[in-house]
Parts: sequence; structure tokens; C-alpha cells
Amino acid sequence: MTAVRNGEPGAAAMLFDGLAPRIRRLLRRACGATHDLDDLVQDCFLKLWKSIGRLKDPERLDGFVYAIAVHTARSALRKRYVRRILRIDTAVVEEVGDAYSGTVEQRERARVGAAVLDGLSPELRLAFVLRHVEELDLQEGAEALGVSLSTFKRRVAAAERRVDVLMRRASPLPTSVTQWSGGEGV
Amino acid sequence: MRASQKIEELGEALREATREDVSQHHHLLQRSRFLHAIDGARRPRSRFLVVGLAASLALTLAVLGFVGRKHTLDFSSQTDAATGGTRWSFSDGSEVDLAPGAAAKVVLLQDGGARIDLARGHLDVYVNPKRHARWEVLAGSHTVTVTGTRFLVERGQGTEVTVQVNEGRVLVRDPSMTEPVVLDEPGERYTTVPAPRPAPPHPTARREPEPPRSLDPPRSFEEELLDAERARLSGERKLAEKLLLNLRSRHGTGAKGAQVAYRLGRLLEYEHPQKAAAWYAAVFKEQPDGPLARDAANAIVDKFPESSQAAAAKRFLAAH
Repeated sequence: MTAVRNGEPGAAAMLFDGLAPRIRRLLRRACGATHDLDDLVQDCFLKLWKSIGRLKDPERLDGFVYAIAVHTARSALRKRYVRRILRIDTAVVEEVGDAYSGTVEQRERARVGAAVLDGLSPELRLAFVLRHVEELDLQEGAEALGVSLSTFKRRVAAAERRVDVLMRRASPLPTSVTQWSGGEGV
Repeated sequence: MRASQKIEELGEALREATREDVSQHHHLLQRSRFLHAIDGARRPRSRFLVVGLAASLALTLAVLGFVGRKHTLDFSSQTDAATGGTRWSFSDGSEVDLAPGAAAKVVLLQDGGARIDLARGHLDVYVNPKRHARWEVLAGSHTVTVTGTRFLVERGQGTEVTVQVNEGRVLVRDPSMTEPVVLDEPGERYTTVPAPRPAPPHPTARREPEPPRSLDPPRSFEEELLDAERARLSGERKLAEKLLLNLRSRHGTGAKGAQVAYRLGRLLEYEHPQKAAAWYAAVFKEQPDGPLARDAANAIVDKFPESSQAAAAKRFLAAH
């Protein structure tokens, strides 16, 4: 932070190295494994770079970064939501290559989970991801989303209800997969 | 399974499946893209800053130029009936006294000065010293340049000219001098040496042809080309063109002539595109195997595709 504030050479690279993994992970969880994930990361860092001068207390860097990443994710989700309503974009989630890591079973569970999340509105989806995937507490989640604590609670509760409905509609999460579409076995 | 447990499992599945970082290579690419982006984001701002500063500077100079604009001098003439002398009084406070019998005229009035042509006689000049003052007295082939001083100029019937400085500093030039004569001591005087009268030729004497006189050592082609280049780069395009045309007339259509033609083409590109195209065309027509032929043809095709030389240039490039 000091290097960034003093405009030291290499400060931008240091900032990127320090924060990119976290930001990328959050955007990926919030928006799914989309083709434009790299663009979202760049967008987020540009916003961060332009506004970091406004951060008075370096101790609050984490919350500041979260807020910017959430804002970036929200914009992307809203655009995608509108495109889907207007039937411009019918893809549920644009999956990219090895979108998820872990065992085949874990990956398949993640795919189904991502499809479920895709049935949520942007605001509910973000609330759900911050609370249950990023495991933020209620206060941190509210700050990251830029809403009051009670609003965040309401959104999380609404997201949970919606997820429950969607999971009931979907087939049960697979516990084993015997054949992988790409030819990869278990 | 309870709903809360399912949600917990879902969150865990998503968390675990997205825990892995990208490869180092991908990270470095992304970092490079980010650094490039912020560099690009800065650049337009600095460009706008430069343009803004330039505009402000231009405006300031324009305002200063308007406020500090100098006016062309004016002058009045008064003849003293008793002595027969004449005084010219200029609007900047400068004065020129013409002695009786002197013949002079003001040939130019300009900002900060005047040019006086002295045909004969004696001038007593007082120039009010001011910044940017520029006064000149022409006496035959001699020019006396002054910025603020008091001095005398006298021109006799022949070529003799005398300049004496009483205050300040003057420069005396004539075409035969490589450097001007500087007079800066009160009372310092410069007098031209009268040219000796040639003795009448003896009817039986045979005159030998005189060798050509040159004050400077002969200059090489490269040096002369360099002179033209200096003139071009310092914005004296007319002088550069004159020097190049002079060189071209002496070196014709050979390899050196082609070099000169190429430089003429480059010099005239913006002001006279047709002429420039013609000079470029001369390069590859006269020296088709020369080192500049292809460059000249390419210049025509790239810069003057509509010119009458374009077809010839394309044919040349196709053939070579």
C-alpha cells in the first residue's frame, strides 16, 4: 500500500501479485467460469488502481478490494441477466476448459452447483456466494455488498430459499460419475 | 437431508472446485496486460496535458504578442536653413543628422529600426538603445548594423567608407569579409582601403589570365550536401532548395546527382508534391541500379499514389 501511495516503480506489479489470486477466485465464484473472467479481473484491477488513492486506512484494504470485486461481478451478472431475459444470451454458464479443479466428482458437483447459482438474480447470487462460498460473516458480507446488515441477511435468506427450490428441481448431486464426457475416467 | 446441509455442501463443492490458482504463466500474462493497461490509461492524460499546456502557451504568447506589439517607426525631416544640414527624427527617439551635401534616403522602416541608404556624404547617427532595435546603414557594399549607439558614417565619391563609433557597438560588413568588423570602443574607426586603380594596359603587354580567386578552401560534395541538410533541418527550406539545385546543376544525372534529386524530393514533399514526385522519379530513372532507386520509387507509391509518376514507379518496383 505504501509503495502504491508513493508511486514507487513496481508498485502496480506488487499490487497485482498480491491480490490477483483472491480477486480472480472471488470473481470466478461469483460469476462462474466464464470466458470473460480474465477481462473481469482486469476490469477489477483497473477500478482498484484508479480508486486506491481514496482508501484512507490501509487496514481496510481487504474490505475495499472485496467491495470493488463485488461491484465488478455485479455489473457482469446484471449484464448477463439482462441478456438472458432479452434472449440474447441463452447459455446458462459459459464453461471453459478445466473450469473446476478437484476430483471428477467434485468437479461435477461444482458444475451442478454453478447451474443452480445461475438461476439466482445477481443480488441474491452475490449474497449467497459471499456468505456460503467465501464464508464471510454477516457484517463483512454486508460491507462487501454495500448494503445494511439487515438487507444482507434478507438477501442471504432469500437466496437460500431459492437455492433449495432449484436443488429440488435439479437431479440430486451425483455422488459418483462413471464416465466423463471428455473421455477421462474416474 | 436438510436444506441447510444441502446448501452447506453446495458451498463447499463450489469452494473446493475453485480453490486452485491459475498457472504462473497465465498470471504473468495477466499482470503484463494490467501494467500495459494502466500505462495506456496514463498516456492519454499526459497527451491531453501536453496539448493543454501547448494551447495555454500559445494563448499566452498571442496575448503577449498583442500587448507588446511593436509599431513600425515613423520619422520627420527638418532642414536647418543656416547650415544646410538635415535632421531626421524618428518616433523611437533616434536621430540622424545629414551633413550638408550628404545624399541619403530611408529605404525601410520596420519594427524597432530603419534601413538608410547613404549615397554620399556624412551621417551622424544616434540610435536610441532598445531591445530588438535593428538599424542598418548601407554605404555602397558596406552595411553598418547597430542596436543602440552613436556613430558616424561617411562615404566618399569612390568606394571609400569611414565608420566611427562614439558610443555602443556597431558591426560593419561587406561581401568580401568572412567576419564582420566590430567597433565597440569610443572613437574607434574603420575605413575601407580604396581599391587601387588598375594601370592602363601596355599596348604590347600580354595579359596572363588570372587564376580564379577563392577565399575559402574548396568544399567537398558531402560537405555541400550537409549544408543543404542543415538548412532543411533548421527550417530554411528555400535556402536548402537553392543549395540542392546548385549542386544538382553541377553534378548532373550521375550518382551524386541522384543523391541530390532524392534530397530535393524529400525537401519538397509537403509544399510541392508534384515537384517532389518528379525528383523522386528522376532518381530511379537516372540511376536505376543506385542505392536510392527503390526508396525513391517506394516514396512515390506510398506518398503520391495519384501523381503522374506513380505508374512508372510501380513498373520500376515490379521490374526490380
